[in-house]
Amino acid sequence: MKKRIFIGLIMISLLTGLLFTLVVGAVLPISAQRRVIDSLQQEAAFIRARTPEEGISTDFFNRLITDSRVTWIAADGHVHYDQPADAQAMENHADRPEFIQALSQGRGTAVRYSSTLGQDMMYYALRLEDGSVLRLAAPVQVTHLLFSDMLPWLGVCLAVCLIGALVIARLLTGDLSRAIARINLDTPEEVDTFEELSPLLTRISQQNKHGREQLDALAQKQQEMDKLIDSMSEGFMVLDARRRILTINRSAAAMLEVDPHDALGKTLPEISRKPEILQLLQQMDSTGEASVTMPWDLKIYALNASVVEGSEGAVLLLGDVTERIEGENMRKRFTANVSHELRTPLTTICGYSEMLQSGMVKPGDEKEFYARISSESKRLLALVEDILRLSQMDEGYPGGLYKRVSLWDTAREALSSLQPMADKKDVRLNLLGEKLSIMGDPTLLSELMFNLVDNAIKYNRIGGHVDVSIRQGREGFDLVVQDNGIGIERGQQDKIFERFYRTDKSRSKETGGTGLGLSIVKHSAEYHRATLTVDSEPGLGTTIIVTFPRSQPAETTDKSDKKKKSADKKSADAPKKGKKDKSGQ
Amino acid sequence: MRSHFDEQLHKLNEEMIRMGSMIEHAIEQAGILMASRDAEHARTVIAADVEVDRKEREIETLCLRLILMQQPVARDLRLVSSALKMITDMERIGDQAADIAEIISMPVKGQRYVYPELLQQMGPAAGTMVNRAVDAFVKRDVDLAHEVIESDDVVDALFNDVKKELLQTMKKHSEFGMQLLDALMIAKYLERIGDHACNIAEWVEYAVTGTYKGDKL
Repeated sequence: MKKRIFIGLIMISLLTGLLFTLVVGAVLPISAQRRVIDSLQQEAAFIRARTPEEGISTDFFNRLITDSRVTWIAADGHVHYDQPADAQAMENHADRPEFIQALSQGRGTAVRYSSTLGQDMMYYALRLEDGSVLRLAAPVQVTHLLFSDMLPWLGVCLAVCLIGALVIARLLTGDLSRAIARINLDTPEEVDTFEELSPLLTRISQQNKHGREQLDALAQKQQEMDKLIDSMSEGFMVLDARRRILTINRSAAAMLEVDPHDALGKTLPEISRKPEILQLLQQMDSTGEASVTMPWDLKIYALNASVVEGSEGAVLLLGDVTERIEGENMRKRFTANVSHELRTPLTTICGYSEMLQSGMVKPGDEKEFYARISSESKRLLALVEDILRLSQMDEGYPGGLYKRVSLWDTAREALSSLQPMADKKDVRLNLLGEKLSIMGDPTLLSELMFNLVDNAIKYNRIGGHVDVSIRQGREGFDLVVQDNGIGIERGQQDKIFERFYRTDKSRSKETGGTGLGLSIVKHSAEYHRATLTVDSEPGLGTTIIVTFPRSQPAETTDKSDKKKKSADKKSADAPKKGKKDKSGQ
Repeated sequence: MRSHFDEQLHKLNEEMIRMGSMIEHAIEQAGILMASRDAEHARTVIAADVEVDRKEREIETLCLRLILMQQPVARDLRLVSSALKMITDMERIGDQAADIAEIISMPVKGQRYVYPELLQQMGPAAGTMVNRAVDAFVKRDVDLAHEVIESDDVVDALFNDVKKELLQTMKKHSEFGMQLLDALMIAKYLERIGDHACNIAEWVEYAVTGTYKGDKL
């Protein structure tokens, strides 16, 4: 910039100088000529005025003292006198333009090279009264002299201009660069500066605003994305080409037990050397996709990794599959248990009936054999019924009915139907508390009640008691079944709701039952969103509390006679419910 | 050229971690075996040692190629040379874990001798040392390496206690004779594993600081 300003200034100075010189060069000779002519004219007028009365003669001229060349020419062009040249030697001057002009107009001027004197001369001719012509001449040289006198000064002026231009250029650019340096790019409008800069500043501030808006939008998007990824329950990771972690969400960090900020930029093996993870990476690098399940502490995680198409990076998803795997295991166990439980009574029935068939039974003992077959068949039947019931519940209970059910009445019915069994063991049954009712499914509730009391009687001692109380608890409506029976060991208390679990395996035959009763209770409680609490002391008794929530679902208006018609609709709703219940386990 | 070198160093690091993971797994399994005495499981642990040996050769080749073709200097050279030393120790740890598994896989005549609680403790103790030594390498953590070196005394003390206890048992129950000797072997192997973990930790310190056992190399 400085250079350009400097060059500009120099150019202007030079141009000015040149123009000035040209003008002076053009104007000066003209004015000098005019001045010379003026002086010649005055001189001529003076000479004419001094012309003596008797007429002009050569003597008169000889007495004249003048710098100019003086020529006296007769009307026919003959030169009478010339100073400083010799008139005798001179040719006829009739053809000289100034002479011709003077003859016709009284005066004449001309500029011409004089062959006589050998230089450029300016001539002024004046016609005298007698018709002769007086001519004065002076050299033109004087104008050139004037011009060449000025040249050194012109050079000085140019030099001054050069220096001035340099200084001004430096000052101007200095100001400019200082002004630009003063501009704050974030708030360009706030600086008071040259107005020439203001379009730029406005542009900058517009750009700033635009840029900020875009950045904000981008940041917000990023934030949303981060939040989304962070709030995922699955673990999520993005790896770069070298398998370093670019992104890791909170869940993934928690699963791998690392600090998410620490993990960034590290490779996966650096944060976890689990063989499964190394295997996953190796598999992914060779095939582009991989998945493994990895046990970690008490949990089981499923890891899925895939290379992102079109780039070298990879995405990793971690999911907690503990429940699924355990569910699978439980189903496997259940199938094995069911087979075993079904087999036992069937073996007895088979064996006894074969003995009867082959006549190996002593006459008179048949009755006992028939009784055993009958009781084992009943056991088998009860078992199959319970299994059916449970699988029905697993599928989602199709009954799906909510009705107002009196807990009190349900309990009373259960107690009265179990009274004979209690009498056999000499167990007292008591019903206490308030006559509360809840919204629920009557069948499921009576099964829950029946199984709880049934267990309380079975695992009681002779002369014991079972108290069923219904009351308003702190959290909701409590159904408490309390006995003073044999109790349950602490370590087993959370297992009693598992299918086919028995606290004492050797006694299962003796007490009867299918081992599914409390599983049914659990299902029923879940269906009613009730919680189960077990409090038991071995040898002292067991208290099981079922707490129904105070906020009750609305009553379904289905009448029992419409049940069949709307069964389809209900079963469509029910699986949803069933699944929800399961996930809450 | 440089980026290729970086690539290879990165690969070396990754492979070291892989090998570390293998031996960690092996010693962990050996610990489980001491309680379960599952011969079938023991055979899989013995078989897995082949992988550790293969990995050692792989890393060895990688290190030598790095030294010959890239001529690493200073820190990089320290890393490569200490890796060469470390894999020897790692391979020994793998071998010893396999040896423990081999003892366990042997059929027992007569009554089975249950390994004493102290010996059972040695497994996790040595395992932790290995674990932390590998951790120290991964994180280039000199402090952690020092902790590993110090914790060797714990394993050594455990070994002495186990030895005494086995001697006592030998006096009372001569019928366990062979099994007691085996138990002593296991204890010795575990004690050696602790030593190897120590060596690894020392080489980690060298790789990071250039100091080996207190001497500036």
